[in-house]
Amino acid sequence: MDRWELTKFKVEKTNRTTLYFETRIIIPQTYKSITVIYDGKQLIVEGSQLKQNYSTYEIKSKLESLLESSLIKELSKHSRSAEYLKSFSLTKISVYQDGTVANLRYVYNNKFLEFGSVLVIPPYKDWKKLCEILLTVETNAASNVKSFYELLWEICASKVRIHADVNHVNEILKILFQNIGVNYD
Amino acid sequence: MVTIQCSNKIIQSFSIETNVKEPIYINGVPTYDLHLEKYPHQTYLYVNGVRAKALSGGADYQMMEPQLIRYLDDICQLFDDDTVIDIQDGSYLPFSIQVNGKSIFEIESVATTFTMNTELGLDDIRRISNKIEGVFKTKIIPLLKEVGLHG
Repeated sequence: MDRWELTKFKVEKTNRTTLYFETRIIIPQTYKSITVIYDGKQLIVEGSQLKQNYSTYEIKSKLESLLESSLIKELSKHSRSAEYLKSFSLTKISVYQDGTVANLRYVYNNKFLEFGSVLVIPPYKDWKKLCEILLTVETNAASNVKSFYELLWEICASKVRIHADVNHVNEILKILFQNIGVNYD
Repeated sequence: MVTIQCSNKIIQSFSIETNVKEPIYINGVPTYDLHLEKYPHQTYLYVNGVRAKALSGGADYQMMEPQLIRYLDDICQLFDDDTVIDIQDGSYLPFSIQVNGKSIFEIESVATTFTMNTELGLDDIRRISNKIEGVFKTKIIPLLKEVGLHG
């Protein structure tokens, strides 16, 4: 099977009910692009519905789990509105020979926290090292330098959870690829 | 804002903006907004461009100068090379660090968004910021208050 490259990974929940997920990969050798969408009810691969089975349930459960991240909970403390949006996505995805790095972007309503680059595929192995590597951090959830620093420490405090989030991304892709006949490894 | 310039782990110069409730008389003018400075290769404190010991209360300022410099040296111990650190008033947290003229840490704020670009890990940032915040809050500011140069 040809090598694949991730170009999009985004999960969001609107109004506490509708779960939406989209991921896109390309197969560079054939220039083929595969888009997978979960619209809250079914998994759709290139416009065709994927048969519902245990995998669908498993993917949904892992997507839900990504939206329960402690960093999204932290962002919720900075929002005055009732929840209307939660989101987790990978941005600035770059594919290298040894793996894929990306920024992790967490969103609660209009507040976001994005940091990177983090090795996402394969998942970085040592969660303890997250706060030793160089990270660029961007957020609109801080009202001043002090609260920005507090968010930085929250990233470190959440490193086990972040590691779990990155693992979830890989597990979701693995299950999806099994279903659509793409070799994950 | 506070700016500290270190070289070889020793304070070279600093600039600290403060304001006071009881005015300092500078050239006969009661002044509330103060700009404390030490210039490179000098060990004296200047207040709004006037050498501190020449002001009324100058004896107190002169006595605390070495202690103030020791506290700032304590921060400079963190850095081997020529380093310029910009620190936010009030929080006493760094928002910019340059080493040998190259930025290694910067927090930018545009509209409502903060962005941090750095060549340091978060653990290092925590170690540096804790040290700076601690020295200012528990040593430098109380010292300046004691002689009436702060708050």
